[in-house]
Amino acid sequence: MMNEPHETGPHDPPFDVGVDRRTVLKAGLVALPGLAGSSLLFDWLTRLTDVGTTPDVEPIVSRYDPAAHRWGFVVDTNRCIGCGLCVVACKAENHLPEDPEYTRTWVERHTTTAGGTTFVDSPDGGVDGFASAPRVTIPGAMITDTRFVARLCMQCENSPCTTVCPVGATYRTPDGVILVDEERCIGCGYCVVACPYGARYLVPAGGDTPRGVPGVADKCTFCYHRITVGLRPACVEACPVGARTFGDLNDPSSPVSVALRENPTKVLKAALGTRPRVFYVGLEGEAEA
Amino acid sequence: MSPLPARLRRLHRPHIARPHVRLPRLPRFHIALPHVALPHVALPHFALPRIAWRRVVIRTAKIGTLTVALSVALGGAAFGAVTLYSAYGPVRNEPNTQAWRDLTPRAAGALVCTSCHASEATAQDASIHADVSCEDCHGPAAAHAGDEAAARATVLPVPKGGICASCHAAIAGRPSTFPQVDLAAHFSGGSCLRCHDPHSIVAVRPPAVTHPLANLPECTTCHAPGGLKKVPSGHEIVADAVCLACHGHAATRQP
Repeated sequence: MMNEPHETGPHDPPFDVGVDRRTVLKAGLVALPGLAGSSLLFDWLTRLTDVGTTPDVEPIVSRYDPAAHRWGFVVDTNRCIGCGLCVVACKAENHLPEDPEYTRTWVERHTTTAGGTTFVDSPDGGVDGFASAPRVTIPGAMITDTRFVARLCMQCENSPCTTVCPVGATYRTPDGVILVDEERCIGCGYCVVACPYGARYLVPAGGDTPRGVPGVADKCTFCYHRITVGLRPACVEACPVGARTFGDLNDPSSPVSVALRENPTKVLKAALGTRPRVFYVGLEGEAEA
Repeated sequence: MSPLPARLRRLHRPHIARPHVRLPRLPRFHIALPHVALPHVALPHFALPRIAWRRVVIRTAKIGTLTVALSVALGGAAFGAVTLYSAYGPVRNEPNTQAWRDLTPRAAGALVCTSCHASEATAQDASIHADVSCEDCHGPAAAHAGDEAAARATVLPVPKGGICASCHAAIAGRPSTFPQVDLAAHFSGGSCLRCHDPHSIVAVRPPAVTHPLANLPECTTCHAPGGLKKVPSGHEIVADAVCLACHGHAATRQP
């Protein structure tokens, strides 16, 4: 009996699993709507129980669609006068700590000598202005260029800070602004050291705090509460010489798009591949940092 | 065509049917398993006879199918649980983004100021400072300009003249086209606002001296409290050399 040839049809399954094709298809027909239904149900449940965080009221301006925008920033170093009003305005707007060490934006003075070396001084982030002479540590060096460079978070498209955050507290919104979730941030400071632009700090206790929570990482948000209701960031409003330009890169008529079209620009530390959304005019003469 | 060698020609006999050697195909399933007396020794699973091993395969496949079906169901439920706005879902940061959005702006913007302070705004709009924000000197004004009557009654800080220097002091690094002054050489007699209107920025020249200055003693000999000539009210006595910095002849006085 064992040695009898056993004829099998060409369409027989290679082995019998006790479950035929019909059963599998039936199960699939039941399972797929079940999956969709369960996700919808959970979505509905979470929305129902999430009253505190998602307000029902409409914003003052029409509903903001983050996916429709791509915020960008242009700093014109040919215009900047180093007055520090942007730093003052940012501190006031965002309830930053008094100490000038904790700042979201700051102004540097870049002094380039004939040898190609660029010296940077930024006393207290430029909040109180600058000394009349730049700080150059090479005695007798011939200064070829001195200019002010306003600094802020680059809102990198390829951001090291979001990559290193161990708890997913810092993230990128669809409009290209990197924000910090103060409820998730554990204050480890990893993002502070990971940022190649030094744009982050940990909010100290005992003083003004942007969101009322000390001990978490903080950084420039492009004044997210302003730009999402149609205002410009506070530093852009404050700049008396128009050295800071903000706008939507998706809109070809926005001030940033115009500035990018009309000027040669560069980004800081381009070799790192962070793809910043902050562009600089007038830094062509400087060696790559 | 060369003939085959003799030893191959002997094998090459196409006219004789080769015996059909067909190996018996083993039944693959639906078999009545023979009662094989297995030795009562603990064998590793790969040492099972082929028949018994096939049985294991079938059973495993059945259990596997059930497992897959169960995992799909449970996985779907888990996906639903972590979906969208839940604490670990793909858009878990949405509430935080909303919280950042809900912060209240403190800087109002120049248009808000203009609606009440028209005269100052008009003067400034006609000046070289047309693009300078009101809040650069007066501080953030959103609360002051808000709906609260109490907040509107608050007075924003009136800046001292020293704030001019933060932009117009001559320091290295400012664009050469930007108007800068050496503060000590420009005016050392006090606040910038003594000459410059804070909004139109135009320097209001003080009256120039009309009498000849030759062979005269110091200004304060006559122009002093109790002197022959009156000093304009609100004008403190400054050192003699300083007087002419502002009141000197139009041709000679400093800018």
